[in-house]
Amino acid sequence: MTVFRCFLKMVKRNSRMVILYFSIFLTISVCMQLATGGKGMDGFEQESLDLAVIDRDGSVLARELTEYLGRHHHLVALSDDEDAICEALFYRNVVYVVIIPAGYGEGIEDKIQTIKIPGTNSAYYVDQQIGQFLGWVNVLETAGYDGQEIYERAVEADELKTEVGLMDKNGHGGVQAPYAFMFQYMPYIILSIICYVIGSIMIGFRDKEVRRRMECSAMPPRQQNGQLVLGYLVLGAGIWLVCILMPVLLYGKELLTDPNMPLYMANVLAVTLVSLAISFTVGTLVRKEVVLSAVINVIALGMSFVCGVFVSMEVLSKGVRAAAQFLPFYWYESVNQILAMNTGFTQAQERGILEGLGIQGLFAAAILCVGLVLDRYMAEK
Amino acid sequence: MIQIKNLVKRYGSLLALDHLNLSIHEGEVFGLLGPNGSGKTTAINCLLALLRYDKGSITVMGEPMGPDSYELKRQIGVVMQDVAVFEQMSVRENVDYFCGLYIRDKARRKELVEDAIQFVGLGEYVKMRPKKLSGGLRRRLNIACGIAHRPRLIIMDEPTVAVDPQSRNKILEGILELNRQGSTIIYTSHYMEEVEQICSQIAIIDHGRVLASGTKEELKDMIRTGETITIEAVALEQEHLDALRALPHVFDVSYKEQILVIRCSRARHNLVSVLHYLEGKDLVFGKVFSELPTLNDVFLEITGKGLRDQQGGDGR
Amino acid sequence: MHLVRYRSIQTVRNWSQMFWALAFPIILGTFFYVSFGSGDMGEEMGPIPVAVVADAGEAADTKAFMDFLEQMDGGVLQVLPMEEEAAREALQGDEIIGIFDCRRAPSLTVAGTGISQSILKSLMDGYDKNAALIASIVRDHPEKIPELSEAAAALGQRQEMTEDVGVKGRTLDTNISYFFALIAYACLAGVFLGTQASLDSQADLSALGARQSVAPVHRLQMILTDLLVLFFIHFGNVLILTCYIRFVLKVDLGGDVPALILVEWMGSMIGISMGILVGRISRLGMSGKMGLCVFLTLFPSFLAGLMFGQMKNVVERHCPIVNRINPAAVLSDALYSISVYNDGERLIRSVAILSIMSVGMVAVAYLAVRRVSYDSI
Repeated sequence: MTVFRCFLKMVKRNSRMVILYFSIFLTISVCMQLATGGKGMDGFEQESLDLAVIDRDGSVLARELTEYLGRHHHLVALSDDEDAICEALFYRNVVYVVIIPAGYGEGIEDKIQTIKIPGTNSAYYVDQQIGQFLGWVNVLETAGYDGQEIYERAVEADELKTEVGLMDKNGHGGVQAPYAFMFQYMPYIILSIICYVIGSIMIGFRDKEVRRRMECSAMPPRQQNGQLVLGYLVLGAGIWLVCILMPVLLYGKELLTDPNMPLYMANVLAVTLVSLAISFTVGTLVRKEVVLSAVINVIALGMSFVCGVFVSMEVLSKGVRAAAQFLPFYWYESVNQILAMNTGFTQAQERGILEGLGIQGLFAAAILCVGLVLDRYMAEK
Repeated sequence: MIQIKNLVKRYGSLLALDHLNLSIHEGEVFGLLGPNGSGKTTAINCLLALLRYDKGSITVMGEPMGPDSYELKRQIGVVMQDVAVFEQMSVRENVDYFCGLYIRDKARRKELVEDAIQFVGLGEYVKMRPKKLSGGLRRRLNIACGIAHRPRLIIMDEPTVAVDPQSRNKILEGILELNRQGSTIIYTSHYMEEVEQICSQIAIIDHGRVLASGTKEELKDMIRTGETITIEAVALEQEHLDALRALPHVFDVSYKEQILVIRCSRARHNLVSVLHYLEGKDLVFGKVFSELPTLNDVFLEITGKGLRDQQGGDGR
Repeated sequence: MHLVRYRSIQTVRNWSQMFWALAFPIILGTFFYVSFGSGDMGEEMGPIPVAVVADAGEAADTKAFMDFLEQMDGGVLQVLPMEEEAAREALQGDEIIGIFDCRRAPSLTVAGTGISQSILKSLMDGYDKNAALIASIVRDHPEKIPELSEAAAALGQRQEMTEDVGVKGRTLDTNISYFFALIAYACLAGVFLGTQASLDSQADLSALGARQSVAPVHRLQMILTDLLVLFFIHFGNVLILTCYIRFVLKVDLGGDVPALILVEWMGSMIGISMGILVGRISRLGMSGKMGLCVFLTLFPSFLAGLMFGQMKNVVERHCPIVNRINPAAVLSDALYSISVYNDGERLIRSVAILSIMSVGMVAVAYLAVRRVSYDSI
């Protein structure tokens, strides 16, 4: 077991870095949890925005529009001053500014101007709300109402509450499970850590001199490699365990009582195996530490972006989603999404989960084979 | 040319240089000999004003040496123990760069760079990057970078570590040639054969002090051992050893694993009297060596330990 | 000049450091572009699959609603008529996003709170309210029905009542925050170049440094030359990235080019100076320093929104001080000021912070490396 023990010793030497990565991950997770209330980045957007209306018109229409918006959102007072506007937007005191041009109530052609901060999605709906209100006013006018009655009717219409039924599929009220977000970006962490640790260890073992020395030794190569593989598996298991423990630490009972828990664990295990395979293959090709960290970051970040680890899959364009299917993380995320939103599964969903897990396994095996072939090729060089 | 007086340097509680005194004259090839940790490199670094020292003074060419002594630095060339070149530049670019730190004039520099490259024998490798060169060639490049500007004083810190014999010879020859061309050379090493081969003046240091200095001959005169006789002898008894010890001029006898080692002070006929004794007693013996003292012997006697840590005893 | 020339060669030919400083940001930018496309959210999405459950006999209410849905079919929605059981199963299985039940009053059932669901909700909401309004009008003024139909028809469509303007007239890609964070990252990536340069010139860090220190070159000259060369090279790197983003990926970064250049210049200075400081940390070996460099580039950029675009907002709400001292965030803010807000004052403020940071960093870096002789090598 000498090789195995040596492997473990080398892992220990890298442990500082591993601990650093994990602690950063944990800290960020905690911060995000506190900041977003567990709804993840998508859930961060509120339905009721901080909004400011700048009324350059002063007409009844303008006032009524302002009140209407105030019923749905939180109005922030803002002076009609470019500077003040910029300041408010910059510090996110408002995320949406409505400017009603002078004379609008009289019926001039100008449109209402809006200012949105790039990257806020729910602002999209405010446009619709404004359009809706103005449309009502238009209709009511055409219908022959006038004066205050127009607005009263409009308000009445507005007060109608649409009942939207919610099928609660996962016991969390239609929102994805809070820990699902943590699982969403876990692959990046797992891949980075495993690649980094195994990569540097392999550079050590593959050093020409070391390799020659090992080949001359009395232990047959099969046994040596076997022990190395054991080392990898133990490392993988360790990291998998820590990755499961972290959400448990943060979310405790909520996660443990989730019937999907074993499936989450299986999913993380699958992506751990994939990461092990990738790290092995990268380790055969890369000789220098500098190059290693470059390659890992490109692979990890690149795959993460394209497969919906950071950016939720919905936002990715169709073409990207199609291409991403050739990458293992895509399948992890698709399984994770199903798990996040459902507790009972339809047949199709079950199939989807099994597919996702299976394909990840296939990826792991395929990448490993490529790595073995490359390894033999490099050894012969 | 160089005067080091009472140099003291401490690293915390460790005294690296203990009132070191050195005097080096122009035109010498001065060898600084000592085991690892003796303070050679520390002394060199202080001399180059890279290290701050606690007490003492250093003058080079009559001027005090400090970090800002740019005029002095211009006339000094350094070949460090570790190869100090840029991996991403070619051989010629490396030499040109370092020479350019000393010589501003482009035309002159071009000449000097060519000369330096030819001098170390890297003419065929000018466009290659250092990582493609073997260990010996890299050392040669290291040297070229240090001497291209034809300095009056050249300091070489263990330039032949891990170098193949061919390169080593070339380096040693080159050093002598540089000396012939007018440079003063300070050479540190723990290979005493090299020091013996090329140095005109030698100082032996240990624990931060100069233990002895002078020419080879002067040093060898300092010690008692004038001759060391080694004989393969079978079956010697204690009485034989005692008798041998009683021989004139013999001051030490040791017998281990059938090898007899006798140290005598300088005198004629030491070997003869020993052999005579053995013959007289009808003792069988095989190979016979008689050696004049080496620097290692000098070192052994003065310090009580070998120059190279891994060998004790005779340094063989 | 000799120094300048060679320092440039030494820096640029150092592939490993130049990768981080130049190639990696470009690669990352390309990934962004590929992931987001350049469309705003909502426009890229295909039709949303919904089930419609209806009886054979249709009341007037439901007919109007069905017509409404039919209008959307093929555009915003993909309408699939189903039985209730089948519909519920389909919703369970995520095959559809929502169920419109038209048997009594139209109602909607969804299973989540994502973007698609929100769109459905707003469609339903809009329809309900419009319908109620029209109904009450019809009750009160039945004689106006003919004139109404046109206006009513207009209600059903999305209104172009508003126009989006930037503060001074520029509208921008919603994903631009990622690219700003990327530029900030690229500026900080100068840390790799700085570290390498530090190692090469410090006598207590490498033999190379020792050799350079014994040369008769004035210390100050050497340091200044190094700094200037590094700044220029890295500044060049950032400019290349900017041009790539602007011209190849065709992302609009705003029109104020001089301000952009100024901000990027200061960002480069900060990155390089940080690198020189990292190089001075003697405790770590080469790989430790590299690791630290990677960390110092990725983590501040992460906080400034490189991976999760909203991150900067989150930080702003909960711990705004971090956004003031995080160089990546300050850089990103400055870039925002230039393009989104086109705003002089915010820009000046960010630039002020940046200049304090950059001058401060350079000063500290200079102090760290100006020594020629050391206590121990």
